[in-house]
Amino acid sequence: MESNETVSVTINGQTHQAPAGARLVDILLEADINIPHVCYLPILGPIQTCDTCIVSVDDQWLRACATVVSEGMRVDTRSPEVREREDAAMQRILGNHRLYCTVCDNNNGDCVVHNTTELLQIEHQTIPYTDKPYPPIDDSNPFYRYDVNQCILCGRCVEACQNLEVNETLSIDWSLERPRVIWDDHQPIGESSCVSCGHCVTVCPCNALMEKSMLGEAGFLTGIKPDTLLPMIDLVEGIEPSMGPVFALSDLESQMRDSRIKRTKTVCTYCGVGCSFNIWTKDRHILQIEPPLEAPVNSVSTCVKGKFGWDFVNSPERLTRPLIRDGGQFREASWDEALNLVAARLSEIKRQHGSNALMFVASSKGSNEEAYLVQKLARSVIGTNNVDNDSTYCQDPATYGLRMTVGYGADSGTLKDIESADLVIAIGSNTAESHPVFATRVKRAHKLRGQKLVVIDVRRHEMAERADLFIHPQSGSDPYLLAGVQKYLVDQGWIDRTFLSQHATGVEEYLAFLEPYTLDRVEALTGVDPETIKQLAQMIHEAPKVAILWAMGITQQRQGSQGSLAIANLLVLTGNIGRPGTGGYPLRGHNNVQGASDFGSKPVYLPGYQDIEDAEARARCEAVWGGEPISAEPGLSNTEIADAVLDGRLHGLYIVGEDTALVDNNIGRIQEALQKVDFLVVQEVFLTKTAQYADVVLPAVPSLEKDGTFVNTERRIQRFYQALEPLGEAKPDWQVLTDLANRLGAEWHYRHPAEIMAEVSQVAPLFAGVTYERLEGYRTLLWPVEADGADTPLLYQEGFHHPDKKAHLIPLSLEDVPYPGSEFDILVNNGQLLEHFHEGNLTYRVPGIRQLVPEVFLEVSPQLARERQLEDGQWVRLVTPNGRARLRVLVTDRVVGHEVYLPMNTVGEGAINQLTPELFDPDTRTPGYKHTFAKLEVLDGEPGSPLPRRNWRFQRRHPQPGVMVERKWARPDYQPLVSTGEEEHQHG
Amino acid sequence: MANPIQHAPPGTQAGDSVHAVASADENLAAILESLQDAGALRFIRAFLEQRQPLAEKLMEKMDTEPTKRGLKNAVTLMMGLGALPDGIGVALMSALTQGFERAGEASQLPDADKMSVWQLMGMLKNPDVARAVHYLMGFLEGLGKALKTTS
Repeated sequence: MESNETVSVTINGQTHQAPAGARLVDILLEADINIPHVCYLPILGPIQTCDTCIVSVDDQWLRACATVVSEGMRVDTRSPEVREREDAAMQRILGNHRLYCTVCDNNNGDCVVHNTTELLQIEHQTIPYTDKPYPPIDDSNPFYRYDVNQCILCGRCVEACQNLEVNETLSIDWSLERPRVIWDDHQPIGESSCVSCGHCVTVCPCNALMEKSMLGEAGFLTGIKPDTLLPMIDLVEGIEPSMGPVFALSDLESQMRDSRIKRTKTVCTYCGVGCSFNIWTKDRHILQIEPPLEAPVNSVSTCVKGKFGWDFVNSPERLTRPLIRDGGQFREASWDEALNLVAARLSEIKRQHGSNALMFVASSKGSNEEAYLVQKLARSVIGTNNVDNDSTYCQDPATYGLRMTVGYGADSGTLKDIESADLVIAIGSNTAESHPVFATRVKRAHKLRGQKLVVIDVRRHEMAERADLFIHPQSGSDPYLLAGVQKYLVDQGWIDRTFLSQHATGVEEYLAFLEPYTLDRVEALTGVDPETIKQLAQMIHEAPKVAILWAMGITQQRQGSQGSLAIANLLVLTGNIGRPGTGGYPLRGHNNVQGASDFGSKPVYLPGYQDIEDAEARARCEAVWGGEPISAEPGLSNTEIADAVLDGRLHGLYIVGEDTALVDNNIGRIQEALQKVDFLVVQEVFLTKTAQYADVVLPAVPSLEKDGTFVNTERRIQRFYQALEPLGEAKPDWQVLTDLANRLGAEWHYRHPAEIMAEVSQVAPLFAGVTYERLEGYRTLLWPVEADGADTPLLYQEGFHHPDKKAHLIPLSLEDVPYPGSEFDILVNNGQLLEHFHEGNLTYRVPGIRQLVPEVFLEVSPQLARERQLEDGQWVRLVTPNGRARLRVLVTDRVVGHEVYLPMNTVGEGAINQLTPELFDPDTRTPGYKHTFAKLEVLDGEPGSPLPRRNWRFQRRHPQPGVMVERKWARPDYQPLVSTGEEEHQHG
Repeated sequence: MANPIQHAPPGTQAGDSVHAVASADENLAAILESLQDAGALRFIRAFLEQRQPLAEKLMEKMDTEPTKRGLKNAVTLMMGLGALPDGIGVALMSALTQGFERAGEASQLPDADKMSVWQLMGMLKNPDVARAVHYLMGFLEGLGKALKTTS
């Protein structure tokens, strides 16, 4: 609860001013009054299980975490009676926990149990520890284990699972004689609905929940085998030393760990959410991912990939030396030989065929600085605008739609705005699996605050199951549905005429465009009945603040740009943009697909979205870069590569960190082009499918082995720091590009990515104030960034990004909705799974993730399974005019009828892009991946599910309000330490 | 035509060496550097180079009757402490603590500088005082018996 009012509170005799409605525990901690608080974590709110934060409030004993400050409140934290209660509460906790800190992997200075016992100066346990009557260790999850004997039942894990991640797996069974944390209904962790997000492990205040990667690795003595370690612990406990000397020893050991454990801040390399955390390393061993409270996007939240998916960095398949094609094999080469060859061949092609015979592809996983250098290499050294990045395959339609209407082609606000919206509409977004941490905040707001949720999708995924309204339109008909909703809103008088008159143009023309989209017509086009359309309109009308999220389900339709325009128009029509809690949020896929475009790796934009046709922008760049003059002609995009190679326009390709051979919509054609092109350079971490076609392979490093910045889907620029040394002779992309440019005659002198960013701020007004100093640690900047460092978390508060400062309503240019034919009667929807990222180049190299999802599978509806007599594990072949794919079936009600779902994580004969059509969005040339129609041929059976039955998708969640501490209080063995009679469980 | 090449030549991928970073060498270099910074390296070098004369000097100092007696008494004390019943240390320390506290209080009483024989006899009737006197007498008896045995 936020308020500008303050109240006066007396704490230990001193008066303090506190915001009205603040929690007392927060006020005390901010005033450096270090009261114990074992179960409390600000982001989780009061849990009230530990009782260690009991203080005297107006002569009553109350938990500080559950007490809201009020005017005139008198608080005492120091009296003997308070100390007595704190001590009693902590003794109860210690009765559940063996203190063997010196040999504990959690003895890293941040163990809450250790630190609180020290804070309270407890010398001896008064409640002896006894083993709990359960198998002590559950290590059935590949990533973490639960030690029930160490569990203090604080409930943080349960609260995090139920109300932060909102996966609703964990609870505490208070009915047992010895309560314990359980997964679902007493399932082993590895057979539960747990999605391995890692929240529980992160928030655990002791070593009950630990990452397996930490066990035996963190401490100097923790690697001792249990059959020796346990007797050692028994021996020490038998001597019953006072805690003082024990803690002195453990504190020394903890201090010594600083010499072997490095903690480095980084930003996740997977999706566009942009989670940040500290990565703990010991030499090359990755001990854990620690997301701190202050991480600006995610706080303590992660998903399975960000928390546990880093093994690929130490994969034995990492490339460590340059490779040169020599006949039918690669041979090892030195950097000098490799780069000299590259420079010579690029120069030769330029001489013989012109600058535009070369094409450069930047990585959407590489840094902003590296994307900037790729386009600078292309433009100022080679002299071509043929440069692109992954966004053409996915996000450009959203960028287009937003630029046309409101001016900036990016998220209009941040996750905080999505959280605070009254209604969230998620269209074509499998948010819980593609942007898991974003989804946690939507789920949390929905569960705890009553935020309304509408999901429009062809697949019943988790968000659809949770939605207040789930709409399943005909695939590809979303623009019509949105037009129909808007027409109904207009007819009801539910649009914001005041907002439109002040802030928008093209209103009457747009309203005229909407006229034909009556409810009946829209029903015929979309399959959505009028009552549902009315219901959606009603929900929009009733919500003071509406935010719309969308993703590949919209942008990878053939009309992805029109769909995005429709969404943006809806927001403008209803005045749901430019205000906190509102706006449009195209959720970017890769961790830096936003940044790769922001920093200029696009055929039509210079850095900062300056149009290449803008002479002033070109001059600004030329003045700083020198080199070749910048052409005003748009260059080629990714989806034009195949045609350009095959018809002889392109002779050379330079691809950085992109698996073009698999992500292009027509695998057969692009692979044919890669075979044919005269010279192909691939700069990569692994020998990917694309790299296999290269003439020269240059070994690059992942984000953990270099410095740089990323931009997440919120437009948030974040720094990541080098945690590990580059492996072998692999190098950061920016160093390779600098070296190459200089061999091509440039004079680049970058010694650190900070210098590259400094240059960017000179050429791109959008980043005028971006400096590495301003991005130090966990500080971030959301562009645009003024020269004085002022950034822009929420766009359009001062007008829209057009010369007239107004939003432009744009009538749609709609084509027919695609329908399956009689032969190709199966719609092959495609997208991502939670566990794997895209093709799986990284995640298949994480053994734990491979264990969870070992292979790709085809989701088939029960109806289709009955019709074609399919069972789990059955091999089928999908055939389209472009190719074929062989897959195993998984029958599920997440899909219906003749709609199937094929995830992207395929590297063999099941690759989705063997099937996808040659259809493109006319405005952006983004492939219409979602319009894949196939015929299904039944092949041999193979018993067993392609997805292990222990996977969370087969389990059932167990929602509950939280820890339900009332059940603890109701136990006959519970003796309250507070003085109030009625216990209330409050959420923060 | 560049057909895809699916394998990299030996030695161009990390292989098993990815974890076999020269930790020992790095640690040794780090140790030496830390010792040097602390001035300890010179100390250790001096110690090692002078070890024979240092050892002779140390033995010369230790091989005296008072030192040998002190070491022997320290070992005897440790053995004796080990023979004490379990828990006696805590109980005894607690009793001593309370005794000292009460002693401090008693010495601050208004008439603490006077003591008649009657007052003394009366104190012996105090059960707590009597218990302590019995304890001390028992201690003296045990000590006397042990001294008689050893002599």
